[in-house]
This record gives sequence, C-alpha cells and structure tokens, in this order.
Amino acid sequence: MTRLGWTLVGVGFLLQLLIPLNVVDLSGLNGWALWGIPAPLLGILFASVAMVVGILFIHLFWYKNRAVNLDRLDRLDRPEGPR
Amino acid sequence: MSITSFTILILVVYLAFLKLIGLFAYRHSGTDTEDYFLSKREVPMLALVFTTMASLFSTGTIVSSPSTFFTMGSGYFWVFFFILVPVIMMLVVDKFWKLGKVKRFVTPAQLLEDFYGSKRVLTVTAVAGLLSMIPHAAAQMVAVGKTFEALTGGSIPYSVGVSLACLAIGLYVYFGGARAVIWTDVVQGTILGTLLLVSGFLVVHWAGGWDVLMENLVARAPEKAGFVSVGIGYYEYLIIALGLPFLPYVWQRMYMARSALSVARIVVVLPVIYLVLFFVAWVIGTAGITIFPDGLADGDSVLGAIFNRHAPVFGVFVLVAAFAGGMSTVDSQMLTAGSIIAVDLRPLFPRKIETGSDLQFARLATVALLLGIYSWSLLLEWRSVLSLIMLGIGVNVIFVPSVLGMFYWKRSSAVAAFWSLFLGLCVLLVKEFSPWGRLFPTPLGAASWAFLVSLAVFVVVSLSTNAKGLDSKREEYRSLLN
Repeated sequence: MTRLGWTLVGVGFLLQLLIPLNVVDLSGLNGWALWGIPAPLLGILFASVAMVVGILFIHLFWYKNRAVNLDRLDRLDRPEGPR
Repeated sequence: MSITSFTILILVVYLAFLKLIGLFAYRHSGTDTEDYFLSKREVPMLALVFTTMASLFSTGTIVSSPSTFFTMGSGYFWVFFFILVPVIMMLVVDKFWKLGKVKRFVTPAQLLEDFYGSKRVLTVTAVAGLLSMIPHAAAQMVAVGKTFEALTGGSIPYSVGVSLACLAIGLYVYFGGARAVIWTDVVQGTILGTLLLVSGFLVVHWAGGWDVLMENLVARAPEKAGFVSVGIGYYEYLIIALGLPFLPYVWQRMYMARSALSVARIVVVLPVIYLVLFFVAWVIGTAGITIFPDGLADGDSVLGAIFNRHAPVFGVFVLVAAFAGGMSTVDSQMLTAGSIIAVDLRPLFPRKIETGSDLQFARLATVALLLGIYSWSLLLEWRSVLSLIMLGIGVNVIFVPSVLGMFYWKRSSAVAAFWSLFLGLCVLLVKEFSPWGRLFPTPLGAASWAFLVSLAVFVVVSLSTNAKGLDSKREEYRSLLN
C-alpha cells in the first residue's frame, strides 16, 4: 500500500507538471463534465487529489509507524524510564 | 451606526477577545527560554496541527489567493505544486523533532551549528532565517491594509489599516510567548478556515450559481480556463515550494511537539487542508470574473470588493479573517525572530546594550524589527501581496542542500554548508534588490538562482574538501535517529 501511495504521488506530480504544457490528452475529462470545470483545471485538481490520497497512504502504512517507533524509543530513553 | 464604525467595533471586540486568550496563556508562561519559545516542548497534537496550519495559511490564502485566481486564472494553478511539500517534510521533520528534543535546540540554526560544528554556519542561518520573515510579515500587513481600504470604500485608508495591524501585532508580540501564540492560533486558524469556506458558498450564490460561474469563466476569460503558453516562471514555484518546510517558524514548531506522531499528523493533514482552502480560493476568484466583468483597479482585494458590493455589513468578517490569517502568521514569525535574536545573534551585539534578561532583550529587539517592517509596509501599497510572500518563502530554499546533506550525504562538509548558505543568500539579495541582479538573467527568478547557486556550491565544495571531521557527528546522529 505504501508503494501505491508513492505511485499516486508520483503520477499526480507528473500530471501537475505536464498538463500545463498541453501534452496530456484530457479529452476524456470533458465527458465527465464534472460541475462544468474546464478539463485542464479539472486535470490539475484530480492530480492534486491523487497526491493527497497518496500521502495519506504513505502516512498510514509507513510514516505513522515510524513516528510511533520514535515515540516508543523516546519513552524508553527518558531518565525516569518508560511510562 | 455607519458600516465603517460597525467594522471597527467588531474588529476591536475580536482583538480584545484574542488578547484575553493571549493574556490567559501568557500568565501560565515561564520565563526560561525553552518555556517561552517552545512551550516546554509539550504542545499536544491538535494544538500543534492548528498552530502550524494557522502559521502557514496567512493573508496569502484569504486575500491574495482569490485575487490571484481572479487576475491570472489557470496561471496561478502552480499553487497546487505546494501539495508536494509534505513529501519533502517527511524527509526531515521527525529528525528535527528528535534532535531538538535530545539536544534541547531552540532555533533552526542551532541544529546546523551542532552538526557542522561552525559558528559561521549558525550566524548565516540565523540571518537568513530573520531575513526570510521580513517580506513575509510585511505581506500580512499590506494585505490587511488593502482589505481595510477595499471594504470601507477608502474611508479607512491603507496606512491606517497597516497601522492598526502593526499595533495589534506589537501588543501580541510584547506580551507573547509560545503559549499565547499557540492558543490564539487555534482560534484564528478555525476562524480563517470557517470564514473562507462560508465566503466560498456565499460568493457562488451571489454570482448566480455554480453553472453561471463556470459558463462565464469559459465565455469571458477563456485564457483563465486553460493553459495557453506556460513559461518557465510557472515551474519556478516548484523550487520555491522546496523552501516551505524550512521556514524558521515551521521548523521551530517541530521542536515544540510533544510526540513524533504529532509531527507526522501535520504531514498528513497539511495537504488536505491545503487542497480544500485553495480550491475555495479558486472558486472565489472565478466568481470575481462574473461579478466584476470589467476587472478591478487593485486585483489584491477581490474578496473585500465582492463583500463591499453584496453585503457590506458582513464585510467585517472578511476583515476579521484577514486579520486572523495575518496575525496568526506574524505572531509565529515574531516569536521565532525573537528566539533567533535572543539565542543565535545576541553574542554579536555589543556588551553595552546587553541589558536585562534574554527574554526582555528579545522582546525589545522583536518590537524594533516589527517597527522596521511596519515602516517598509507603508511603502508597499503598490506591491502584490503574493510576490512578497513568495520572496519570504524563497529565501529558505538555500537551506535545502545543507539540511538534506546533513542527513543524507556522507560527503557534506562544514565549509560547503557555510559557502552554500552565504552565497545562496547573497545571490538572492543581489538578484532581488540590486541592479547587479541582471547578472542572473530572467526568466529564472531570485529564489531559483539562489537555489541553483547554493546547490552547486554545496556539491562542488563538499567534493573538494575533507568531510571526515564530521564522521563522528554523523555516527552520533545515526544512532539517535535509528
């Protein structure tokens, strides 16, 4: 799942880079007609959402565990001992 | 009661309410440096998330962003590059927290000094950190001044708005301390977010509904609905985004956290709030295209102008939101500026003016800094708020090579860190403020040139100097962090 998170972040970021250059075919998005938002802007918004979801996955399946582990070590290191 | 009097009354009530919270928190503040600046490193998770968000989202979010979407449309979509920031934060913030806790760091410069073992690195980091906060803080005052003027149709001129903002912030700073800043940030962050969201819904209603909004965007301003010709300047903001995690007051918040999990929560909450707030800002800016088809004289005041036209009485709440955004950022900046002056730079001041305690010295120096920023802000009415904010964030890109090098590159050396920081800062200042700036040609801006120079200097000097002196420090950090 962490790998899926990184993939989403990577794809979202690439889309953010490429859409303004008009090198991505966004004609599919016109069919969505989501609230009438023009396709290039909708593409950037979708790319941003993909990055947010990717970061959420990375947090849930990797970064949070790392932080919990750091906190555990910190409690063990306290002079008064773990609590 | 006139609208202007009503506006001032509500604002005074709001500021008095905040002052009460601040004073209550201040009474529980200690007088040692760690308590005053870092709230004993015991800031709970929710408060930490709120204070970090309130400090990051400023008048730039509520005043400048809707206006920039209004004037530039798709040309401002680079703002969504900043969603990448949490990924960069993941590389460093838990390390800042752990090292800060173990080694009792108060300022960012202390961490770099400890690793590189160099007073020169400490000084240049402290100076760059201080300089980065000046344009950013000035931007908040400029935005408040412009919003005042727009909402009152010029009855309260720009200079009076800026003076009021400075007075309110000055009182804050003098009776400040981390506790006061954190708890008022919680209130102000909530106000800023809520008012922006409510404004979004109201503005769509006033523009005639969502469908009208989108139809007018495509019909009246097709160039704002797509990307016609994007230059390299659009991508420059990606480099500026790199500097955001290294803003001194964001960095210092990592030292304040009670736990690493709190720090990790910031990383995951930030992009969600960012996406929501900037989507709403885009909606407001797009509504401006329908409401003001002929444009506005000052593009920096679209939200104030919309409220002035449709609900002038409620416009005061836009002003409150602008104040909340501005003050929650400037109070954090001034607290951090105080810590940099008291902890990092105090040894540089002559003995004669070293009177009173460290905290007293820091307070007076910070108020003096604020007065300098105020004087500068009075001259900046013509300048875009966004450009000032980006200049402030842009300074911090010079920290990227030295900080990442510290954690991730075995060849990084103290000499390289100093020259990378020093020359990066010099290039930024020369490019931005001096005629010699032409030596660094556009389309790249000051932040990009500063980043490229600091990166190149860091790599070249590191490769050509002996980094073995830092091996023991590297080992110490590795054992602390793993």
